Amino acid sequence: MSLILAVVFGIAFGYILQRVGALEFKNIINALRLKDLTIPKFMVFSVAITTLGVFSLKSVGLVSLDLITTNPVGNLIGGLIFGGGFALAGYCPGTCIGAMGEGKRDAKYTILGGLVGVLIYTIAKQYTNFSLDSFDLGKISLIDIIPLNGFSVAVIFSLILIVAVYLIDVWEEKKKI
Amino acid sequence: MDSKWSWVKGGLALGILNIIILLSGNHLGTTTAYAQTSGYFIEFFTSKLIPISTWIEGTCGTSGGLQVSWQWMLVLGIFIGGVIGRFIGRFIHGKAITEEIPKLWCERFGNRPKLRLVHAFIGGVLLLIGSRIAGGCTSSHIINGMSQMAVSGIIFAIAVFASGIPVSMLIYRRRDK
Repeated sequence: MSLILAVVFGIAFGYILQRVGALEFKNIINALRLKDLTIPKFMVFSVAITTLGVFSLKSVGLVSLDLITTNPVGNLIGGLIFGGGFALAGYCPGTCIGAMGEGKRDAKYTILGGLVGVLIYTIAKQYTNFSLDSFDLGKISLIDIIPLNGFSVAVIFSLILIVAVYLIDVWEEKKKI
Repeated sequence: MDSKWSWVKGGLALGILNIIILLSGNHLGTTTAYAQTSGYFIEFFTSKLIPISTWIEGTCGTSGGLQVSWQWMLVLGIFIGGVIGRFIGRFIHGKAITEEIPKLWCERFGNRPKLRLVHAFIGGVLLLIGSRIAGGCTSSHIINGMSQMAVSGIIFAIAVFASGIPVSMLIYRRRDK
């Protein structure tokens, strides 16, 4: 049952990405070149909505946080390498799958590259002592750092994101004229 | 111009979808599916080379093995979502919307499909090596992690743009300038 739900969620996710244009090479690259920030605005706005929803539901006990371990060094180095790949491919690991569904030929090669990337990482991990585990800080969220109750932090965080997106939008509209 | 969704509509849709996914007790993420797929192939040919735990350890997923998991099904869904988006797009516009090689890329590098596929492939390798080092990709760190105000997601997002912006500006700079 949960696997069927996963497919349904995936279809909805892929469909939203497609409709917004997040599967387009052009839109991703123009976002990174700061020429067209539609995709970042879309992402940040969705984060703001989810934050409000999740922390509302959490305060009535309907949902619990499901975090990835914070490892500042790993997150940073990984993110920097990821950004380079993002600029070169014009896809991220999720969007290239949707883009392949759309029939884009280059997306298939990004997926293939991704499978090879995982292989390289896993072999390196297996045969060297490479590990960043010593930098692990555990699963932390801003609510663990900021001395306010979780819901208030969430509201402030969402408002900051929404204001930021709004200002970016106003700035972009002005630039067009 | 094509009749795509605005970032407001897309952001709302993704925000609500993400809340529903978290309510169902799971979270977005695609890296695990890559690790499982690569792992499955390698295990098929040589099962002694790399222990299964090395493939999955530290991915964003909740699965402990190489079987078809929740996140694998999510990724399948993203693919189907892309296919559906393509056909609806074709229905609305009356013609195929996918281009063989992105136009923006052609303007910079010329009409060299093979080179584009090489770029897409190397990009994919970097994306997944980065994701594995960071412990997740755009979906799990940014869309899912930042929505829960995870410190890992915030660091990752900053790092992705800190390298993605200069790299893309360098790669796609105008040749005539």
